[in-house]
Amino acid sequence: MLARKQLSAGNDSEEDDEIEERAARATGYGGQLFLMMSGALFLAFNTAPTEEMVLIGLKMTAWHSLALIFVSLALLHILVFTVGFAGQERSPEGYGLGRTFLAYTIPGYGIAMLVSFYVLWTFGRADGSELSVIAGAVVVLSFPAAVGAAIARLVI
Amino acid sequence: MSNEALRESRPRKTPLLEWIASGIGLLLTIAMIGIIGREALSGESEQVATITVTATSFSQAATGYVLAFDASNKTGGAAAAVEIEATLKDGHTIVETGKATLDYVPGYGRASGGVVFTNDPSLRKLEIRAVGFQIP
Repeated sequence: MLARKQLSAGNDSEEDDEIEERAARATGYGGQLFLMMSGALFLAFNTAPTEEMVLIGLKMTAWHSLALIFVSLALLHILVFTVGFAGQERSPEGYGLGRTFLAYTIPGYGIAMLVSFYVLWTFGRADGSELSVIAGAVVVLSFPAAVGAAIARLVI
Repeated sequence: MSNEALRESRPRKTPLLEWIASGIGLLLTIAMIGIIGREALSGESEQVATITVTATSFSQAATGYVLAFDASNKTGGAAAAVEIEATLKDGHTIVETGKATLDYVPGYGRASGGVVFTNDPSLRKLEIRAVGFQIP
């Protein structure tokens, strides 16, 4: 982000500007992913040590977990979508609803799930459990992680 | 052709990172929906937990004899607050009873713990089993 600001300043040539813009878009995207990861880590680290995360995962039926996946995705998308079009100075033109969903929401949720799994595994909450039980706990923890990812993009 | 039009007519290049991130994200999300969906359709988590307890090892400690055990769940249903009771018998007389509580034994999962005895378990007949649990 800082690099984008630094590089885009004091550049007059149109052609150079174009190259810089493309490079900035790529680093900007990587930066966005990194931001989402830190946001997800922040909230996941705060909620994962509680006993309730595993308990909620066990209490919820698979149908509830399935619904929670879609709720998390929708929430993440709404927040990212708002930022993508209202918050940013240069909105990514040509990015439709489907494109933003695939470019930001899906990777964001993927990051949230990976971070959740990592945190659960680190805290020993995944020990001795079968895949579907771990998946249930990951889905539960991915909800706050997804909110964290979205908020990180909103705030910073 | 104006500069604007030229810029618009050119097909937009999707950054490679975007492809990779979208691909991995999509793969993970679909995999997760697949795992949870299979679970939802099989209905295995509705089963009542069946817990079998096996003694794994025992060692002598300053406070007594520590018997380590493994509790494994043979069905898809989870169990919480699992009470484990271990008894040492000499013929038909109960010499000592030990207890332990496990927080969770997830479906098809396992958990382990230990029971502390004052008598040497290797000299007596050991019986260990789960006596009760909560359905979370």
